[in-house]
Amino acid sequence: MERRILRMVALAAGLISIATSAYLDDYSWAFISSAALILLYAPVLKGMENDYRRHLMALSAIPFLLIILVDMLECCTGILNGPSSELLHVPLFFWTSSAIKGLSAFISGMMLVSLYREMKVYAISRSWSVIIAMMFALSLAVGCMFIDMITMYLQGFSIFNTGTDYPPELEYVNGKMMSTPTVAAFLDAALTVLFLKKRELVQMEGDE
Amino acid sequence: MRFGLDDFACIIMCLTNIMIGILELSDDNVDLYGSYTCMVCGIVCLIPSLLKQFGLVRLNLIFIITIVVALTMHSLGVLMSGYDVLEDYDMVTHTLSSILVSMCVWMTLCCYNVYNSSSEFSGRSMMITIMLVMATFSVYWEVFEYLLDTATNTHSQYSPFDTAKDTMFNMLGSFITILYSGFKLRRMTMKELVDSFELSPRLIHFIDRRHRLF
Repeated sequence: MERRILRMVALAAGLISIATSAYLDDYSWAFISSAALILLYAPVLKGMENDYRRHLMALSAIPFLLIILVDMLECCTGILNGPSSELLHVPLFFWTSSAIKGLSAFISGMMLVSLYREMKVYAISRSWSVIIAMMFALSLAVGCMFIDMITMYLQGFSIFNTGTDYPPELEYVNGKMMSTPTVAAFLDAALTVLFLKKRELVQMEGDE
Repeated sequence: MRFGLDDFACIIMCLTNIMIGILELSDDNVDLYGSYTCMVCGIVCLIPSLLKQFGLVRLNLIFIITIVVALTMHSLGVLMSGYDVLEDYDMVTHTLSSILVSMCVWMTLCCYNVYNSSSEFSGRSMMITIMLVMATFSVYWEVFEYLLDTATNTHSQYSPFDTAKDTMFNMLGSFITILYSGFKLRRMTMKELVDSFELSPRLIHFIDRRHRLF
């Protein structure tokens, strides 16, 4: 498929996913998807000769489509947010969304490393580049953690522990805040192992 | 290897920590966890001196002082409830620890830059890599604490705000290291800096082997 079409599909899906996630109060997705979209368009905006590999560009659109699917499922059925569908005090919806955030952040990391290699910021092996991509993904997870905490604080949840007893509300707030880093820590490690076999993806097309 | 001020600092702090740990053991209301923490921290204080004496690597004095101060503050914080009584105590220990870890990362990257021809870090990529590595360590540390709390029904994370604060101070530590590294590399070249570590030939050989891990 043409790169231009791939970018258009990703942009459209990205914007729709930001809207559906905001509707469900999942604002940290906007942060992850904005980073992914900026990185997707970076070679065009910088007027670079080489572009990302087609496979990487196609992969970048998958998390957008997945989050739209999960948001639709949640809106229509609510099966991921019920009291029976909780894991560690947090609804399954947030765990699912965190997994998709982890995937998107990792692909963004791969794009960032490709970009840096092309701009000669990094002169390291492709294997190390995949590991840098994982680190970038985990840094984005830290960003999500902060956004989730601020969002919950603005929604009226308590984020402070003022007494000697641990308020039960904090179990939920802490769990939700930690859901993205927790899932990303495991998922991105697994993706790193997987992508070490596909490490040519950190090279731009035409840069052999 | 010649015995110097750095070895002296390591041994003094090692003995101080171990003695505090032993004294605690003789107390009526003994805090076993605090006592063992002091002893373990005391032993760890010796590591820089041992590394130097075995000819593996020579760390600079500022780095060694940061190590022993961080370890002693942690052990005293555990033993004398500094973490519970003093509100900002963990802020200081988190910052000091992250300075130490990020300095290790920085020194490792410098060694790779000098001895491994397949890796080349410019000032900018060095800065980005230190920040990324520290963010990764912060995430793994907080996830470890979260999972430990969940498994054992404890609250070492204390509160969501505390978790965010810890992460912020971890990043502050790496920022301080980046500033220090910039200052240091203005006064000497990277080669001179790495030479001052007096790395053992075996370590140099380990770094030099290309793509050894992958």
